[in-house]
Amino acid sequence: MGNWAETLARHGAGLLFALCLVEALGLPVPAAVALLTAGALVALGKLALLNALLAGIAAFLLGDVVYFFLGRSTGWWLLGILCRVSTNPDSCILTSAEAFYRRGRAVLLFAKFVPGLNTMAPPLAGSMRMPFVQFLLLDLAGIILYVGVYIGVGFAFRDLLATLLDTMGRAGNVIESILFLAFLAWVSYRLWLTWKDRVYRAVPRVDSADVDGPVFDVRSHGYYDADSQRIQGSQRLEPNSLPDAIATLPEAEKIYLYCT
Amino acid sequence: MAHILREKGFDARVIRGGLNAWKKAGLPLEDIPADDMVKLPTFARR
Repeated sequence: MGNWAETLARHGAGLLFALCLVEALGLPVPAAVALLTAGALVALGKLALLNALLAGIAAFLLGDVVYFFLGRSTGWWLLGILCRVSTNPDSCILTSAEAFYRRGRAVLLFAKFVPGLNTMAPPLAGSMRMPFVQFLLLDLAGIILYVGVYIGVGFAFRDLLATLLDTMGRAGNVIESILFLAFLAWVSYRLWLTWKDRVYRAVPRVDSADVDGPVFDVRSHGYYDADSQRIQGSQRLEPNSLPDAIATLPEAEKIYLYCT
Repeated sequence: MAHILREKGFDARVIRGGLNAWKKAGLPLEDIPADDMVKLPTFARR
């Protein structure tokens, strides 16, 4: 049934646990494929159902609890980090929080099925001060549903999955070439971004001690936590309202911007 | 943002190291006024 399935069968629940944990921590690992394969292995008697279920559930729960407490202890900082990949971090934080609140706590029941939301939901729940026991129960229910569905589908469609994995095994070289090309494309994209953004390096930078004019705070998440501080006398310059704010900025003197 | 402002004719500069460098230099800070805070929804019991 392919090298991948043989590897999973050999290492069993330990490998399944590791893959699910890594995905729960936000890294791009195909845990869903691992769960599908685990389901097929259960059907073939090569993996115990209880071990597969417990490995998947424990791994996702551990990762989610870590992110929940990181969200709770760092306020909106962690969400700010996760939102950096967004084109508009400010809007990302606000819309994520509002969407999560509007749809209610039940989002946790299906969050695992939605790429992106699966990583964002636990720290959001922590940042939004959801009671831990409530988070734990809803998240656990969502995880059981997710792990159960994928293992169940793998179990039911084991023959189809075996064919797919065999095909993938035979097409190993082609897949490796595609992955290598994708990696090259990603590196090229990053280099192009660096080249495109070179103009931003031309902005003069000054040390804190040399500031001698009005200061503006352009942080994306500094205004969400109750105990936040800013440079004395500075004013917020919210990136999304820059076109309106420009009319109020002094044109005749130096202005200083800062972020985190 | 500094780049956009410079393109519009403002003499914008960036504080090297941001708020962290300012704090490390021991320069004065202030609490953010309540009116400036962005109120995000929360599940906390009031």
